[in-house]
Amino acid sequence: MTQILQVFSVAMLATVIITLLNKQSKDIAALLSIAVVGMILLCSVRTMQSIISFLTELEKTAGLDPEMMKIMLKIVGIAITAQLSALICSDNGNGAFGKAIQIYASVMILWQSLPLLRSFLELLQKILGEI
Amino acid sequence: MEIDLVFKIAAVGIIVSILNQVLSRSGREEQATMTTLAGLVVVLMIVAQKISELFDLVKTLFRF
Repeated sequence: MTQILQVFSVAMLATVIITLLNKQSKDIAALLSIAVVGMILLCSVRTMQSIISFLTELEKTAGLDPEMMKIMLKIVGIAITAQLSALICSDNGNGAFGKAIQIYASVMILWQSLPLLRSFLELLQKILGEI
Repeated sequence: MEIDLVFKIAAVGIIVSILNQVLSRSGREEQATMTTLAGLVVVLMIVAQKISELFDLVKTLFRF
């Protein structure tokens, strides 16, 4: 619980300091916002490790293909980092960067899931072929 | 690790802006710009280190 409160208070404190720094030097304010986002992500990623190991346990007992699990995890990772970087860019006034990063991330996600979609298509063809 | 980093960057930012104003008021514009750039580089190095740590963790966690 202490860590949760610490993270919230650090975020609010950093918001106030960034408003102060915005008047004097907008560049260091931008760097501070990037640093705080990175720190909070670090804390959440450390907790995510135990959640993901539980997910792998589940997937082992369910008997699913481990390749599918890897692809899904990669897609989640791409989505989270891309959305945060896009928001950081648009926070500092570069909305176009944010949109471009989002487009790039969706293309990458589709590319990662191509083998899954292909095997799904083969499965469909097999089923339709038997009919 | 957490709160220290925020305070460090905020302190560097405030010191750099104060030095900037003092130097530009006393007429040395180029030194003011140089201190601003130096502070920026220092903060950028700290942040880049943390972000690379974060990306390494994300890579191992999400099985890249």
